[in-house]
Amino acid sequence: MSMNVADILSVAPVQPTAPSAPLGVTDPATSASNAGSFANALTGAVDDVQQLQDQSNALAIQAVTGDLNDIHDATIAQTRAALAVELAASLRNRGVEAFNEIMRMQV
Amino acid sequence: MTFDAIGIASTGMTVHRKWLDAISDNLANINTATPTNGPAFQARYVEVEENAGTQGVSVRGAVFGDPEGRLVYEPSNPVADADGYVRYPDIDLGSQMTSLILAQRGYEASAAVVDRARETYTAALQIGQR
Repeated sequence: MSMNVADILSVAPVQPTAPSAPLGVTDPATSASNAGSFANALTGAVDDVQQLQDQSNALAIQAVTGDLNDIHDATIAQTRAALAVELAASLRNRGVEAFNEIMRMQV
Repeated sequence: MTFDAIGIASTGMTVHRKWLDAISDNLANINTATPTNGPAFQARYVEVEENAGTQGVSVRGAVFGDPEGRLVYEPSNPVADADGYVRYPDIDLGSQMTSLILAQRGYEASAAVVDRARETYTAALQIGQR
């Protein structure tokens, strides 16, 4: 294979590459706000769980100190707190599952 | 909270608990004799109203029975007046027992709603786990 000088000179010099958007991300602004809303939702859920737990604890203390008016208030608060924890744990598990699935991806 | 079957059932349980308390008071005082110069024991009845929207039920207040009671001739009673009469509360044991059953069953029904709601929500959490 032969190559002459004129061919080599016609090659344009290497241009610096412009910083491009990461793969698969079309609009960084919407992506950031989506991530923010997911984080907010998660934080809100954790706060709710915390609040329900506090309520359940307060009623349990009332039950043992004899200040409790309604037995079912305490047991219902417990049920709600348990359900909220189950829901949060379930969502967390699904999220971790999805993340692991992505991490296992062959690149 | 949108899925608040448990909270609504809780208001129903509270109302029935208060009804039970009122019936308990009425039955405890059904044989309370009082002097004729004062009022008889007044039966307690709970007045119930629905909450705005779908927020269950609550007790608006208490309604009291007849202070006249019924006059009974009991000269041997220490609180009897000069003519030998005392006041007994005007409470019908039969209707109180019927109310007792209603209150108990209503309370149990709301408790069953709580259990079913919990089972239902748990089933929702199981979606896609197997």
